[in-house]
Amino acid sequence: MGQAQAIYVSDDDGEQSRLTDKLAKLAAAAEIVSPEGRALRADNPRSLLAAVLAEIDETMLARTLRFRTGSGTELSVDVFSRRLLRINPPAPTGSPKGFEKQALTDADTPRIHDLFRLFKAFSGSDRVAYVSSGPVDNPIDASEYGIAATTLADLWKLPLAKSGIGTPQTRIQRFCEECGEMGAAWIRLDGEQPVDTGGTESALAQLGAYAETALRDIREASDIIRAPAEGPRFVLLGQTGGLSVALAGEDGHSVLVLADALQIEAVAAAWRGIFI
Amino acid sequence: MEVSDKLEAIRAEVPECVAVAFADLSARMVLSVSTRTRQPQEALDDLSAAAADLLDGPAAAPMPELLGEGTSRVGHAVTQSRSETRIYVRSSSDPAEALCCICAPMVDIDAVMRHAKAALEHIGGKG
Repeated sequence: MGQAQAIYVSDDDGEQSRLTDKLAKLAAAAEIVSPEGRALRADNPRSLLAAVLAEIDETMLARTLRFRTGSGTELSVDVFSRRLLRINPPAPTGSPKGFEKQALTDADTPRIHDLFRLFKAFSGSDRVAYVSSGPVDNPIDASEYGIAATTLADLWKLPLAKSGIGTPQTRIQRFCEECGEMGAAWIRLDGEQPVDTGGTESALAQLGAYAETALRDIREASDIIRAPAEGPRFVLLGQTGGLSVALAGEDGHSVLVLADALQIEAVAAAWRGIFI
Repeated sequence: MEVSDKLEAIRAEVPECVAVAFADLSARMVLSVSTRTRQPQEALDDLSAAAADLLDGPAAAPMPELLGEGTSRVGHAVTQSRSETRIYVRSSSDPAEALCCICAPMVDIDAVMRHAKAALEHIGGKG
């Protein structure tokens, strides 16, 4: 039932009006991107490295992941199919030489200790890093097989303990990112508050209009999210061959997604990949 | 082929589908069901009530405006939890009828919808 209450709004007219205004402003923005990216928080530097590997392990499409620690050290890597393909320059200060721009393969496993030193040079003594992703700048050829994040985690003795890293908020944020990569529009809510959006202006206007109406009765609408089981929830409503709206949420963090008919399976699969 | 045979056929085509029910949304009642294991009546009542809430409830009310002119109703709904995926598909010939499918979490949603629509067309044609 926690999810059912996650996107509940007050019946108070003033509150409703304020939310409506906020939704309108959010819908007007084509996309709001945090300059720092999504936060990864850990109890210690090793856990932070585990969080970095978890990001690689959860990246299926070819992407450049850019990490920046709280103290400002940066690391850019190309990733594909849960594998680390290459380290983009510049490597963090103090890193061993010979990794930048080099395509990584399993043959690099003997150098894995040096690669670990490079990652430790990145993490330093930080416990917080920010991650953002974008298309890869350099084309990936067939010889770039990379090293699986799970292999790195095994060799570096780092647990890919996502439960210790991810929170409902970060899981929702990751779901938003994946929906955005598919081209679907989304509005993210923390509790009752719309806090972020993604997608084209026209799609957001459509979704915002739906949200404005649906949120008005969301206390009743939340009944549809009542679960035979506890935990994160996903509900999608749509028309055959047309648009669908998905509502996903966990522990007070929620998102509305506008998907076309061809995106339904991918949006649902993205939710499963993150929440199950 | 009877309605129950069509429901059985969906489960045969999609092994992850553990239960398929043919429901009347207006009456909020399951009319026919095919399940791997026997379901208690209250579970079937909940399933048909959920179908009515999803396809005709408050969250569905603003959908026609979103979906565009000529669209009067929500045609399908999907819910996912860690333990199961449920797929609800409304009949195009009788909007008060729907198929409700309870599946394993990793089911192919497109495949279930495709089979459900075909079954509903057959059922509607027979009517």
